[in-house]
Amino acid sequence: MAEKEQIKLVLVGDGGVGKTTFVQRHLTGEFEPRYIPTLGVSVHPLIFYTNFGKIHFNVWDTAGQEKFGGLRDGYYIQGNCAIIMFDVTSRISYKNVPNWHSDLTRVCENIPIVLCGNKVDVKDRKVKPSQIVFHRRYNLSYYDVSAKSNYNFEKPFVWLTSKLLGNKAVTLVQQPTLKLPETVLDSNLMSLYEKEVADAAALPLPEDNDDL
Amino acid sequence: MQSVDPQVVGVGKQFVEHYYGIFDSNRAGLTQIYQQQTTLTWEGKFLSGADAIVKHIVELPFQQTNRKINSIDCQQTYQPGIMITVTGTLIIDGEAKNQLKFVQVFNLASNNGSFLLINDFFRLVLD
Repeated sequence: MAEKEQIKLVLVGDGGVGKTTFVQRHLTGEFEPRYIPTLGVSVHPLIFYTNFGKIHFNVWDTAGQEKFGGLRDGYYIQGNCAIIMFDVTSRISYKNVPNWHSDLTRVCENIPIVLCGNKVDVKDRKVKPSQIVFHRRYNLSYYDVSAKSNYNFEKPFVWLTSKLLGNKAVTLVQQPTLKLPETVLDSNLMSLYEKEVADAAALPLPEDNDDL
Repeated sequence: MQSVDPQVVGVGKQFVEHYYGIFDSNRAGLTQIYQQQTTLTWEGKFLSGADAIVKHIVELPFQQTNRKINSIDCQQTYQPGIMITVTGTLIIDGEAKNQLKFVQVFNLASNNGSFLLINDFFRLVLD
């Protein structure tokens, strides 16, 4: 992957899980998002400075058309990597993750994908870390995120960069400029979640396929 | 120059105005419009009967729609009835810069001086 190359990152997930809020956290500086009306897509240029140089993601976000039905192939075509997002306060948005995954991989075979559970700042979490196992069946990475507090914002991008570079150890040499947090996280709760995510990763996968 | 009966055009336009007035304010109110014999193809998904159709539309996960109608074309059909095609632009949940083009086709059948919606097709126009 050449340094000048731009990476198309496809952002998918149910309407209302916070995809737009997430992508808008990153203050893009010299670049503005641009809207492509024929595709119904906002393209957000997100730059990260890493130990492998400047990485330019073009994050594709929908105009809300997924709320009417599915997305068209034009949204996925030539995607280099993807984030599938759900809302940890909405079980149905997690139940729909396999649908988004199959829709995505039908068009983009074998691209690196990160699963993100958003809104972990909300006290009434419905989808617990131990219940999140889908990513392990398909070799995706998983991160708890909270768009409103910037929690783990950069993690999916760092992991995807590493995969796209061929599993190199990637670190940021400069933190991205983000909007100020709109909510403060309970750090004890986040530590607990981080432990639960780690514990869940150590457990064998459940045998049954019917419930993710 | 030939033209469509103005009464047909008038009824068609009134229907469109009425339909979107309900859709964009209170979708559950569409039970007034959909009939047991109505069929709808919504973004490729086929639905039959008022109950299934209104349930599907009400459960769509957006709160608010605003639209601008760009064209309404009407013709009298053989049944007799009125067929209408509509094109326009939609804004979902107030994201004003994210405009989505749509096309919708309605087929109305005349029934004792009133009109019943029999066929309905909806598509967002996207690559």
